[in-house]
Formats: sequence, C-alpha cells, structure tokens
Amino acid sequence: MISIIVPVFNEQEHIADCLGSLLNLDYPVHQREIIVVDNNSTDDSAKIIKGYPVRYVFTARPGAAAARNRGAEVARGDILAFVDADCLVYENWLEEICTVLSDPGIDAVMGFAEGTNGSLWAEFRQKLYEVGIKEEIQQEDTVHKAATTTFAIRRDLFLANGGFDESFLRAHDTEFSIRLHSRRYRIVFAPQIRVKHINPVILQEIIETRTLQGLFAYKIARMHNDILQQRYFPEFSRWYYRYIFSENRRRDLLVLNALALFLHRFIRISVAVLENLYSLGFRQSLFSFFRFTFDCCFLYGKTLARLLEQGCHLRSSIWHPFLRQHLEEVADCSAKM
Amino acid sequence: MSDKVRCSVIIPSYNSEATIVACLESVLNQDFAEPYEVIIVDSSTDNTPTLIEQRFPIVRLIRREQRVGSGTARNLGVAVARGDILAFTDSDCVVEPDWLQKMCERHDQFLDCAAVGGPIVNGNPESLVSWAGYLAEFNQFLPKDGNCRDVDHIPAGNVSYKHHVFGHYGGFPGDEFIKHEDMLFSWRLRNAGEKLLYHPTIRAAHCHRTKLNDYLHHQFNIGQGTVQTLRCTSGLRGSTLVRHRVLATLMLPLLPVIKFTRSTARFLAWQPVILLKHPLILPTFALGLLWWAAGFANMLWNADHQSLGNLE
Repeated sequence: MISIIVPVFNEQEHIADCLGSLLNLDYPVHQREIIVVDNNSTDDSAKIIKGYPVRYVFTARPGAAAARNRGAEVARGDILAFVDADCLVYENWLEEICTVLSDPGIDAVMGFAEGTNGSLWAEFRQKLYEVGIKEEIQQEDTVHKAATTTFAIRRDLFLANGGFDESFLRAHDTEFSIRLHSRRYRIVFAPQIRVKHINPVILQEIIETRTLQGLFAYKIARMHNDILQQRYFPEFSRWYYRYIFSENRRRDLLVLNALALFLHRFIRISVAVLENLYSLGFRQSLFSFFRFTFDCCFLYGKTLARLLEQGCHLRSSIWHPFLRQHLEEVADCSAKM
Repeated sequence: MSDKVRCSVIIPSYNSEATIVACLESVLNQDFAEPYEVIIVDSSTDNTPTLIEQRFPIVRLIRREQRVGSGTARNLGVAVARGDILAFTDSDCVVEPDWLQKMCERHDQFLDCAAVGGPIVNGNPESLVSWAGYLAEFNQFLPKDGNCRDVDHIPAGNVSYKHHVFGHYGGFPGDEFIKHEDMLFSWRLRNAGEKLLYHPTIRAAHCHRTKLNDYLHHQFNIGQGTVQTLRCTSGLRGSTLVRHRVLATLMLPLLPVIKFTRSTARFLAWQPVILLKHPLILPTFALGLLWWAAGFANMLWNADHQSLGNLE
C-alpha cells in the first residue's frame, strides 16, 4: 500500500486540480490512500478538500515539514509518496514510483517537476531548477539535495530517521536528504516520475523564497562538520566564503553588515530592472541577469543567517521591509540558531 | 463454516438472555449472499451462554468468566475474526434483514472510508423510559432520510469497519473506560483523517432500559464516561472544559440545559408526534440529565481517573 501525502497551506486555487489528478491515477484504489494535511490554512482549502474522497488531517504546527511528518504519522502505507499541492501528477506517477522502489537497494526516489505556466519568471525558475538537477546528477548516481515536490520514501526508513526537521520552515527537504545521504542511504533521481508543477509567477515571491532558502541552507551547513560541509556545500571552501562565514574569524560584523546591505540594495534594484526589461524582451540576457540575482538572493539569505548567528537583531535593521512577511519565521529561526 | 468469509459480525454480550435471541435471529437471517460469521463474546453470569449453545450452535461463542467491558469484548472478537469487514452490533439490538448487504455495498463503493454505519432506531417504542433513554443517547443518530455523509462518530451498535483499518488503530480502548469507548475510537480515526460514512438506511433497533432505576443509573455512567472520553481527546466540544475542573463545575448547571434544548430540538424536528403522544418523555429525559450531570461531576473530581487524561 502507498500513502500519498499532500501538505496544503492556502492553496485554494490549485488544490482541486491536484486532487483531481491524484484521484485519476492509474493505480488500484484499495492499494493507495491520499492524505491531505491542512497546515492551518486560512482560506477555503479545507472546505474544498473535504469535498473529495481523501483523508483530511489537520496540524497547527507551522511549516511544510510539520505537515509532512503529520501525514507520515497517520499513514497506513509502507511507501510514502510526497507531492505538493501546486502539482498535477501524471496517470502513471504512482506506478513509476512503485517500479523504482521495487528495487530493494533504493531507499528513496525523487521525481522530476515540469513547469507548466507561461510566465517568463516561472520559465526562468524552471530552467534554474533543471540546471540544478543536472549538476546534482553529474557528480554521482545518488541525490543529496532532493526536493519534496515529488518524492517517495519507505515509511519505516522515514520514521527511523526521525522524519523532517520541523525547525526548518524552508529547505527541510534538503536537510533531510543530506541527513539520509550522509548516513549512506541511497536516494535516486528518476525522471520518469513526472509531475506538472505550477511555478510561482511573481518575481518578488521567487526572490523572497530563494532568500529564505539561503538562510536555512546556512543553518544546514552549520549543522555538519567541516568534512561534510565541504562535501555538501562546496562553496564554503571558496576564499570569500571562508572569510565571511568561517567560525574561526572574529566577529566581523561591519563587513557582514556592509555585504548584507549591498546585496539587499542590489536585489531590490535588480528586481526593478528585471521588471522593466521584461517588456523589452531580451530573453537570453534577461535570463543571465535573473540567474545572477537568484544567486545573490541565496548569498543574501546566508549572510542574514550569519548575522543572526552572530547575535544581530534583524528586527531593527535596515533590511526590515524586505523580509516583512517572513519576519516571524526568521525571528523564530534566530531563536533556534 | 467455509474458510473464506466476507464479513464477521461481532456482538459483545453481558447478561443479555432477554434480548440475545431476537438479536441473533435477526443477525443470522440476513439476506446476504456471501458467507459471513457471527462471533459472540460473552461474560454473562446468567443463562446466556447455554441459550446460545442450544439455539444457535452455528455462532462462534467466546466465553470469559470474568466480566469484560464492551470495548475489550469487541477486541476479543476481532482477534478471531476472519472477515474483511467487521460489523458490530450489540446484544440488545435487532438489525434489519438487509443490514449486512447494505454495509458491504457501501464498503465496496467507498474504498477509502474506514467505517460505514447508520442510525439507531428505538427498539421498544411502547415504553416511556425507553424513549427518554433513546433521546438522551442517540439524538444525533435519528433515522432521518438523507444522503450518505461523513460524520465524526458512529455508535458501536450499528457500525462496520474495514478489518485492516481497525487493526491499524489498535482496536477499541479497554476496560478502563466506563462508557463511550466507541466515541474515543471514532475520534482517533477522525484525528488521523479517516472517513466514517453514515448511511441513513442502514438501521439497527436498540432496546433501551425500561426500568426507571436502570435508566437513571445508566445516565450516571454516561456522565462519567463523557468526562473520561473528553479528557483523552482534544478538539471535541467540551474537551477543553473538562481540563479545567473548577470552570467545568461552575458551568455544570448549564450543561444539562444545553443538552436538553439541543436534543429536544433535534428530536422535534424529526418526529414531533411521539413527543405529543407521550409528553411525559421530556420530564423523564430531564430527570435523566440530572443523573448525567451528577455522573459528570463525580468523574470530574474523581482522583483515581485523573491519570487517564494522558492516555492517547
């Protein structure tokens, strides 16, 4: 039996299509169950979900990690298949997962998410996602930074390793897969497991998400010792990273602050530039610039995390407006660091 | 009996010689094409076991010399059950001839739902006390017409579970619960997102207590059981209240009033004729609620059962 787990937080636009595609799966009904975990949604998601023949579970703990853990807790199947609420699955999705996991040497499998929507930003985001995957599978045949957009794992193994770390509001999937990988479990990438993913279309949203991912990526890196850190986060061996992020350095807050301020300003300007150039249509150059901005966001997130670690109070800081929506999350994260 | 059975009917019994014959006759004479088995778990001190052995040799009888609660008895029955579907009824219930057929049809139709059940009908409508008992216990499960729907609780007198789902949740809570262990089990399932399907045409008639003394005693027990159950759950109406004893005690005079109004309103909307014919039902019901409140208060301040609150 397979348990499909869908965490939902304010997804009233997408959830109906997602559940529709899940119910349409080409798989025996009594051998799968669909568990939808409502992560304290404030919109109509709960009402929509209850209209479908799926298991509705509620959790008030924040973060997709908590929702997925809750789903795994109540699941009856021996395989957990995670999919996001903004995804549509192909009919053979579950069958492909079964085929891959029927090999006992494979512990978990990560699928491929196709982009669906026509917005340029979504298209760029999708391109970067594909580049990331290509880099990932170039190095070795196992994946160490898996995404839970479509992900399947054996339930006993998931529980034995403690599930997702709920203190990670973002990037919990990266943390979990690195944890598995460092314990020598085998996660593979299987492009035949496909879902259609509706990428976010608002540039600001993409930028903020990336920043938060950077913030939590730094937290993951800090959790590991030097050897693992260099293995999973090779950028930490670069000279400027070593200068900024190395623990042995004295508290060089001035440099950090200056860097953060610079990055913050740069990202804001580049968002404006991107929005304006968009109408002109220099696609290729636009993409390069987008990619650069995207990387800067990641670095900016890490810088913020480092500042937090050094005991800086972001609430009073200059970049306050940028993270306004996520301030609670960030403050929460700083408490745990 | 054949090796493969589709459905197991499980009946807990305790001193039920007055009702068990009617119950078993209705369960054994089902219009059901597939093979099914009937399991009785009995811990009576009266004539019930001999009665069953003589009149219904086909029934699988599990005897316990010590008295066991209904939840434990049902679990003992499940332990030997071989059917894919576990149907539960009580020894004081009489089910309709198409009961099993309809249950199994629904289970086949809705593969994702954990339980299928239906309303309880009053089995002895001639008695006033019985109507009061019915009003008090089953006012949420009136045999109104309507569609299948997803509910939070189905009483164990008229319910069936898929065997593998039942096993996954470890069965009914045991003897430490005075009453309402079925409610706690339903809550566990609901909390895990399982669906309980309520179908108004699957009916079982329940024979209620007809002696006033028994009825009041039963209401007292239900009051106690309510507190116990609410302590172990969260998110149910009242489960926060029972965790604050002083507040609950202050609210106590109000609770029977609320219960009375709500139940009577539900009942009136369904069949006002019965209340008009027997107006004395309402005072009897009100009297029972006083006993219920007494039981509620008793358990609220009962030190022995405080520790149960941590059980989940």
